[in-house]
Amino acid sequence: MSAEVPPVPPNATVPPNATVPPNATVLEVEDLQAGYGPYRALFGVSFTVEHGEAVALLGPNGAGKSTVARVVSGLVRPSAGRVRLEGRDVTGFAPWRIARAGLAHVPEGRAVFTTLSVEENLVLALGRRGSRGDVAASLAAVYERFGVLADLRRHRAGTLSGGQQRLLSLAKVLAVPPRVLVADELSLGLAPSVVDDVYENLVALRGAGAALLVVEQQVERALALASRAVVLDHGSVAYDGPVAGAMEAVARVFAGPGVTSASGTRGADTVGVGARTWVAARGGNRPMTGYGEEPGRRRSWRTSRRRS
Amino acid sequence: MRRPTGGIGGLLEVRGVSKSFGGRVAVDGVDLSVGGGESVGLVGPNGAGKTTLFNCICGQLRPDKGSIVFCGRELSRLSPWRRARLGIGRTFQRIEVFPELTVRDHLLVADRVRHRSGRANLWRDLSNRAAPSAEELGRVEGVLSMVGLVELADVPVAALDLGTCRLVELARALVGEPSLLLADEPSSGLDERETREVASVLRALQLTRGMAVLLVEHDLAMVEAVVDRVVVMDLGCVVASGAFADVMAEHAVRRAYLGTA
Amino acid sequence: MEQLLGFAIPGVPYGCAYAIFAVGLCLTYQTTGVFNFGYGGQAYASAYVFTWLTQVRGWSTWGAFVFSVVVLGPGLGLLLDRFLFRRIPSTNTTAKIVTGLSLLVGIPSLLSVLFGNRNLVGAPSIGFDPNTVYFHLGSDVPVNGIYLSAVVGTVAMLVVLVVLLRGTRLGLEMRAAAESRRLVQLDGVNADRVTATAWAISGLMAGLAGVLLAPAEATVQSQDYITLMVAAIAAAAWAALRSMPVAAVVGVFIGVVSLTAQGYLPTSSLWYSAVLPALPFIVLVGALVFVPGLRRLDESKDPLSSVDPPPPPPTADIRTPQIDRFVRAGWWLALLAFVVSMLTWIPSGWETVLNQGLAYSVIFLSITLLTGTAGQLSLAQATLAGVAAFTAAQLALHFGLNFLVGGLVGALAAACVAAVLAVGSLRLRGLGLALMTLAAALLFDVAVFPAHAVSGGTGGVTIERRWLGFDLAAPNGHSYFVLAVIVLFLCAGGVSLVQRGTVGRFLAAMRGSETGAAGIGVNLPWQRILAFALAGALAGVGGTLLVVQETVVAPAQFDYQLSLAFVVIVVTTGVGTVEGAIQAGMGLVVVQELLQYAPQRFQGLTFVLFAAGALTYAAHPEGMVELEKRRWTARAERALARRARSTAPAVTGRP
Repeated sequence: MSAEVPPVPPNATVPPNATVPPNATVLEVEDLQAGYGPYRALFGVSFTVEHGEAVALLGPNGAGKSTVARVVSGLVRPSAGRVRLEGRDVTGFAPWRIARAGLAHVPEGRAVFTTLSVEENLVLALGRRGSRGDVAASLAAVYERFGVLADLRRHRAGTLSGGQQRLLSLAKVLAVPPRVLVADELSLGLAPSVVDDVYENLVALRGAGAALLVVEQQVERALALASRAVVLDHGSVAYDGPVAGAMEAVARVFAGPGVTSASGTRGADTVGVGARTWVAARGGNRPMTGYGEEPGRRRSWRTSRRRS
Repeated sequence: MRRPTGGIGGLLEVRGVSKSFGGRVAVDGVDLSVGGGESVGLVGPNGAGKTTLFNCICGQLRPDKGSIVFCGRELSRLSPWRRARLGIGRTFQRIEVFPELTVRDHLLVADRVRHRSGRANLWRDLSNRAAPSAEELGRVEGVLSMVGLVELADVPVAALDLGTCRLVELARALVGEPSLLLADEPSSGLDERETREVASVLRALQLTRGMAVLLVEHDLAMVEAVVDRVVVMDLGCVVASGAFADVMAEHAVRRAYLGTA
Repeated sequence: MEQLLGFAIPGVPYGCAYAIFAVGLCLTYQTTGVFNFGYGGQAYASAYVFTWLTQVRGWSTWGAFVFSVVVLGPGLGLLLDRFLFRRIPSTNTTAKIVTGLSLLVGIPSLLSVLFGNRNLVGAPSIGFDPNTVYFHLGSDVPVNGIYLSAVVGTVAMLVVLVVLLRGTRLGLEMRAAAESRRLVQLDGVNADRVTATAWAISGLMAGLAGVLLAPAEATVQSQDYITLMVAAIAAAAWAALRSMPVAAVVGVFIGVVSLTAQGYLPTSSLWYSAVLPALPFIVLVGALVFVPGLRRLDESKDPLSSVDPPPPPPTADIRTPQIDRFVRAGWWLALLAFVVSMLTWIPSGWETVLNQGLAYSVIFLSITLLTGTAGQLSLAQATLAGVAAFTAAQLALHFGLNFLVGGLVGALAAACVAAVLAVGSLRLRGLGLALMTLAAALLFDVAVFPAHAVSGGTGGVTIERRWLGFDLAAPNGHSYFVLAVIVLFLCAGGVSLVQRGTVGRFLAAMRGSETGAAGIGVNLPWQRILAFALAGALAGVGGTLLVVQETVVAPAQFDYQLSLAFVVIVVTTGVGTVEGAIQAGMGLVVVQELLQYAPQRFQGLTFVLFAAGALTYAAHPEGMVELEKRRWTARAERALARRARSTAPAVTGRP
C-alpha cells in the first residue's frame, strides 16, 4: 500500500487567490480560550500559520492540541479570543461555513462515514459541484492517486482497516485541496509504513500551496514536515518558533518540571504546600490537618469484614 | 511512612486481559498487578488502551479474555456497584458528581452506602430518623478536612468549579474507605496549580492511609509526584514497567511518547 | 385463500399508515436524534384539517390534500425543528421526550380550541373513489378506493424516499448527517439545513399517513392517531429506530395481521377481546426485550460527540434559613386557611372540584418521586392508579371488603405491578424506559381494564355506599374532604421525608449520575425497583381516592393518554418538589373548572396550557412555577440583605 504515491495531479493544485498575496497570514489564532462546559482546555492560545507553511502543533496528551484544532474548524466555540482565516474573522462560524471558506479539518480518530461507501464519502467531500462530469473527473483524479481506494470504491467505509480509513479521510481532503489543512493525530494507531504514506501526501499537499497545521504526538515526524512548531502545555503556548528549538521545548514539557529540577520523589513537604495553597486560594485559613488521623482504621475494617 | 509492599500477591491482579472493539484490538493480553498500599501509574500515548483496561477493571466494560482478581475475588462478572462495595473506589475523567447534592451530602451518601446499606432505610426515612448521627458526621468531617473541603461542605456541587468537583469525587470515594483507588485522568480539565493540589492530596492519602492507587494520567509531572511504580502501555500492550525515572529513560517509552527513534 | 384476503384487505390502510409512520419516526430519529412523540399529533393535525377543508369548507379533495399534506405537514415539521427541537441539546433525552409528549397531548387539544369541538366525518380518499370497487382479488374480494389509495400513496411515498436517500446528493447528506452531524459539517455541508429538510420530509409523511388513514375510520379522532403512533413505534422499535425497510415491513405486518386475525378469531374469545387489540403493544414489548440496539439508544455513535459539553445542571435551590422558616410557616398557614375555607364557606360544587384536585395531587406525587427524585421517566402512572382502583372495586364487589382497606391492598398491587415493570426494564434507560412504560400502560388500557372481570365493561363499577365507611358518599358532608386532606398530607409528608432521607439521597445520586452512584456502591437496580414500587403505591392510593370521589370506577378514568398528560402537567409546575405536585393537581382541576364558564370549544385549553408550559422543560427542568418561586426567593433574599444592612431585621409576610 505504501508503494506508489503518484505526484499531485495538475488539477489538484490550490487555486490562486487574487486577494491574498503570498506569505500572507492564512490562519491567525488570537488569545483563544475554550473548554467543554466546566472543563477549561485552553487558556489564551495565540499563533499564526503563514501561506504555504506547515506548522507542527505539539504537546503532551491533554495539553489542548485537539481543542485548538476543533476551535479553528468551528466544532467548539471559543469562550474568548479570535480566529481569522485569510484575514477574515470566522470566530463562532458554523463548521460548514469555515469548511466552505477553505479550511479542512481531519479530526482525530475515525473521520469517515462508516455507513457510506468509499465513493459516497468522496462524493460528499467534493461538495455541490456543477455537473456530473466535474465530479467524475475529480473522482478519477483521486482514484489515480489512491489506487487502494479505487479497488474498494463500492465497499462501506466501515469495513476498511484503520489505515485505509485514514487514507480515505486524507483523500477526501485532497479531492478539493483546501487553503488550510488542520490534521489531528494522523499517525495515531497506524503502522509505520502507513504513516509514511500519510506524510508523503501531506508533503504533496504543502507542495501544492496549502498551509498545514499538523497536530501530532510523533514529534519527529511532525518536525520533519514542518517549518515551524508551536508547543502547548496545559492549554497555553510553551514554545513558538523554528523547528530547531522545538525538540528541546517538547522534551521539557514532556518531562515536566519535576524530572529536570529534582530527581527525588516529592515528599510530604510538597503535599502540604500544595494543599495549603488551595485552601488559601478560597479565602480559608484552616490548616491542613487530618493526614495523620486514624491511619490504621481502614485496615481493621477490611480484615474484620473478611473474617465475617 | 509506610512503603509499598510490592506486587507479589498483590491486591489487584490483572492477568492476560484482552478487549477488542469490532476487530480492533484495544487491549491485548495485559498483565498488571497492584500491591496493597502501592501506588501505580498507568501511562501511554493516546489510543494505547489505558482507558479500555481501566474500564475493564472498574466494570464499565467486560474483557473478552483474561481475569481480574481483587482481594482474591474474580471481578469479571460483577457489576460496577458490587466492585465498589468490595473496596474499589474510583474517580472519573469526566466528573460524575450529583449536581443538586451538597458536598457533605455526597459524602453522607457514600457513608450510608458503606455502613447502612441494606438496612431498613425506607422505614427510617418515613419515621424521620434519617438525620445523620454524630458518628457519621464525624467520619464525614474527617474526610472533608483531610481533602480541605470543610468551608464548602454545604454548597451544592453544581455551584463549584471543576477542580473542586474533582476533590469532591475524591472525598466521596475516600468515605467508602477503599483499599484501592482508581483515578482516571484526575488532571484533565484542570490547570497546573489545581493538578498539583489533586496530586498532593492523592499522594498524602496513599502514604498515610495505606491505600493503593492506580492512576491513569497524561500529565507526567503528576504521575511522578504520585506513584511508586509506573506501567507504560502502547498499542494495547505493556511496553515498560518500573520506577518512574528508570522507565522514562527507556528507549521504548520515549518512542511511544515522542515518536523518536 | 379468498377468505384470508377478505380479512387481510381491510388491514391494508392501517398497515400502510403504520409503515409510513414508522419510517418517518426512523428518519427523524436517525437524522436528528429526536424520537418524535409528537408525530401522532402532526398526523392528526393534517387529517383534521384535510377533513375540515373538504367537509366543512367544501374544498376540492386535491386542494385540501395539497394544503394539509404538502403545506401544513412539512410546515409543522419545520416549525417544530426551528423553535423547539433545535434548541434542546442533543444529550438531553428527557427534555426531548417531554417536548414530544407535550406536542402529542397539546396538538389535538389545540385543534379543538381552534376549530371547535366538532365531529368530522366522511373524509374522502385520495385519487380513488371510496365507494367504487376497482377490481376483485381472486374471484370476489373487492378492492375499493380507500385501499387502493392507501397502497398507491404509501408505495409512492416510500419509492420517493428511497430515491431521495439513495439517489440524490441531499439523501447522501442526510445519511451522512445521520451518522455524525458534526463530521458532515467538516465536508462543508450545512447540517442545520439537512436537519430542517429531514423534519420537513417527516412532516410530509405524517400528513400523508394521517390523510390516508382518515377515510378508513368513520370520524377523525385523536385516539386513532395515538394508537397509530404506538403501532408505528412498535414497528420502528423492531428496526432499532434505524433500518427503514424493516420498519416499513413490520408496520404493514402489524396492520394486516391484526385485522386478519380479527377475521378468524371467534369474537367471544379472550384472544379477540384482549390479545388482539394489544398486538401492537405486544410487538413493542417484544422489541424492547429482544432488540439489543434499543438498550444502547442513548449512547452516541458520533465520533465527535466529545465536542458536546455535558448538560447543565438545574439551578440549585438554596434558601437562607431565615426565608426557609417563613416559607414553611406560610405553607402551614395556607393549609390551615384551605381546610377552614373548605369546611365553611366554599360552595359544594367547588368543594367537589377541589376534592378531585387533592386526589390528583396524590397521583402526581408519584411522578415527583419517580421522575423528580429518581430521574426515571414513567408513562404509566395513570395505569398504576387504575390497577389499585380496580383491585379495590373487585375486592369490594366480591368480598364486601371496605373500599378504603381495599384501596391499600390495591396500592400494594400497583406497587407490585410497578416493581415488575421496573425489573422487566432494568436494562433500558431514557427513551427505552419511556417506551416500555408506555407499552405497559397501553397493554392495561386495551387488554386488562376493559375486561369484564376487571371493570365490568366500559361502564365500570359503581361504588356503593355500603362499601365506604365514614359516610364518605354523603352529598353534603365534608367527610370525603377530611379523608382526602389527611391522605394527601400523609403522602406529601412521606414523599418529602423520603426525599430528605437516605433513600431520597440515594435516588438523587442515581439521578445525578448513574455512573457516579455505581462508583460508590449504590445498588442501582434495587434503587430503581424501589422508586418504581413506591411511586406505584402512591399512584394507587391517589387512584382509589379519585374513584371514591367520582363514585365510579371505569376504564376511561385511567386512559393511557392521561399518563402522558400527567407527566406533562407535573413537569410544567415543578417535578422536583412536593409543592409542585400539589400545585399541578389543584391547578389542573381549577383551570378545568374555570374553563366550564368559557365557550365549549375552549375545554381543551387546559391541556394546551400545560403542554405549552412543558415545552419550556428543556430550558428550565425545574418547572415554571418552581422557577418563579426561586426567582422570588432570590429577590426576597436580596431585600433581606439590604434590610439587614440598613436596619435591624424585621421581615413581614411570605415572599
